[in-house]
Amino acid sequence: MKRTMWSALMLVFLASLVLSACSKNSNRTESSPSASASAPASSAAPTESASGSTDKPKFENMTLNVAAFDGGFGTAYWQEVVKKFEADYPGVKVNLDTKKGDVFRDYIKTQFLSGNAPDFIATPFVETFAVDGQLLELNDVFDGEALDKSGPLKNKVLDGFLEASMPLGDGKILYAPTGFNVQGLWFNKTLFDSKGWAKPTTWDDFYAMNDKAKSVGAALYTYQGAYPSYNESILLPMIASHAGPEALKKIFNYEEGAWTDPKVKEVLNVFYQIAQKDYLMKGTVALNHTQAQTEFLNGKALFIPNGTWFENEMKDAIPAEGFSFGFMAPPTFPGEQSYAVASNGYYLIPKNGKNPELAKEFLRYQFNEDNILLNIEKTGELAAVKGVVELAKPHVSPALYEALSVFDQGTKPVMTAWKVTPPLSVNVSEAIFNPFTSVMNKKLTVDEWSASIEKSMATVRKEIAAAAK
Amino acid sequence: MKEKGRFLFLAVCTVPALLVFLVFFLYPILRAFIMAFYRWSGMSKGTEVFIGLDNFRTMLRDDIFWRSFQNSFVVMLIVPAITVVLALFLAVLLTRFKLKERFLYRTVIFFPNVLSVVVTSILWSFIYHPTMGILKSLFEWLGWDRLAGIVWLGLPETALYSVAVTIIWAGLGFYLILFIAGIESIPAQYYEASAIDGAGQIRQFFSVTLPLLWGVVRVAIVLLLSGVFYGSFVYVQIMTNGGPDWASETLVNYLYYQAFKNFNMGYATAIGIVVFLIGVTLAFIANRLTRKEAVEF
Repeated sequence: MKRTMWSALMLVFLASLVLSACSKNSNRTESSPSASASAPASSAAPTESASGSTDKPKFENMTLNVAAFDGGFGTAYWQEVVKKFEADYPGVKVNLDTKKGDVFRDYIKTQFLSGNAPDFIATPFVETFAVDGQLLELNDVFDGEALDKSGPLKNKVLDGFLEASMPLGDGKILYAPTGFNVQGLWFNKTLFDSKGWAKPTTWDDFYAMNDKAKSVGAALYTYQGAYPSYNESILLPMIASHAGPEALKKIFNYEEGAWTDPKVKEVLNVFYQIAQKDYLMKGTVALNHTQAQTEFLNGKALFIPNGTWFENEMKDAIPAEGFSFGFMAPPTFPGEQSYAVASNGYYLIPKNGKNPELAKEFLRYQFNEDNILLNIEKTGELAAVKGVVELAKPHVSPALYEALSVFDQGTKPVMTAWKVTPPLSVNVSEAIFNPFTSVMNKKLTVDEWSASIEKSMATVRKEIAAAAK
Repeated sequence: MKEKGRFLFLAVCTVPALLVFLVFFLYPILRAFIMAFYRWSGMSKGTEVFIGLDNFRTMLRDDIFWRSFQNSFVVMLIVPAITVVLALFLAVLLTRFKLKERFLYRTVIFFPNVLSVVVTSILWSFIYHPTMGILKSLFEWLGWDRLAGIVWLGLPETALYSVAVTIIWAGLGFYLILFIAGIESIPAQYYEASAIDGAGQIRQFFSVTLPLLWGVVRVAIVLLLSGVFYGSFVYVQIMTNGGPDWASETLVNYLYYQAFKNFNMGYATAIGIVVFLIGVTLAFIANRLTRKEAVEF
């Protein structure tokens, strides 16, 4: 009998060991139902009072869970701003959670899947949260007053960025933009200055530089090989410039015939020429992004597309002598408007967070000028607000300043605004840029490339229609 | 009473493992089978929509799926074949021909096995590097300019085979050791007897070595088949990312891509079922192949 008892106890013990691993989070949700259930009803009240009077809304004994991506800019800003927020809002405690790379993505994903989403997320990845209906609408935050200035918060945000934060195309702002980037073509400024070469402004000027490239033993162009979608920062601005913003909008909405538009084909032809006339650095397609970027830094190619994170990303591989970063918007056809891709990171507030009102306050707080400056000083990351480039000038490198101020010199921004879709079997970016690799390998003509994209987009439309049923 | 105690004791020993097996192995598999009939991003809770067999219909007309399917089988065909032939050849060379440096060769050829797969992949992506790769330098030194100009990982014709070469290189040493051990356990008198009958090395290989080693070779083929089917994932992921233009994508890579890059978990699990069925078939073949020994000695 005694032995039976022991065995039974042992069994219970072992089973509990196994099961306890799964149940760690279950006790945390206890207090949440009332909070989240009442959120929509009560959400209007505090905001009203905030804009009506200058009093700060009271947040007594509340905890805010913040998850921030630990990427190229690190977490120094988040450590500081969280302390500052706690000091400005007595009675509020902030739990800051930061993680790197794919660990962060997996972490956020499991938090959403288990119904324990944090209150506030700062991330460059939006995954499928918008179309899955996981995000809180932020229109009231941007229509409401800013915390440190009179006038609505949306007046602070850079033009075009809020429009690109409505992924469902229904006027609902679901992402709050931050981390402003510019993408374009990079070159070796030291080399260009020493040879007296000017930045090419048209594609003909660009092609003409091939002889100059040869004279220094370089190819004209390279890109991030195995990740051909980096060419988006050339392709999209060219379409906006040559075929017009309307044509680009058709592309973003997967409309039929968007890629067979003759003007769009003329844009595709630029890449075809780069391949056919051997302007591309030999072997580019086989390299990964760091390999290709290293080749560029070592003077094997004159131009490479990338974003403003480039300098920071490659800081360990920059040659000690004879190199400095130079930036330009992609060339255009003669007499056409120049465009460059502007992109950004995101602040997200999950719908099922426990303290949505406090999260919204924290979001407003991020747009205070002293916090924007704090972020620039601590990390070099620029919030997507007007005047940020001048604000950042003393804190960033000359090349970065040159790149970021490109929109003050006549170039217009292009925002990537792909219409959000349900899960599809075709990935839009892959559908455009996988055949791109074949074009670069001289296996595909412009007509075949455009037909291949059209075929993929037909599948996209078909699957969207099927999902809408 | 005693029986009951015994039963409880056995339960204590097995139930925890069984629970772990059920929760972390069987449940995910069943769940995957169910999710294949849904449209789901895999990113959020409660957003799955039942769509019946739509994911499988998508698969039928998905060119990239069929290309990956084909690539998987190409790799599964050439890697085991070449590995076995090469390992057999080298094993005979190192045992039947009394080479002085055979210890050195053995160590050198086995060496890749101690490297992590990721290290091997990165190493080989630099060997194939189109501007500073050792392969390019070698061909240039030999004066074979046409070969030196080939971008091995960047051309649709060569990318998959270049990856396959890496997989063979990484796996060869293990099978070499396996075969050497097999050959050394063959009694010497068979070779002596056949030599007296006038058999040369080649005749001895086909009449003595191969029949007596057949059991080991079969095990090697079985290990290679399933190993390559699933194990090619990392090599492809790191060396080519499935490119250029899907030319080196395999089924397992495509599954991963659909699940975690394209956020289509429903479709990915449908592909997972196909992968599962192929895996089961391979296991079945393995079972058949290893059932009987060839020749006893």
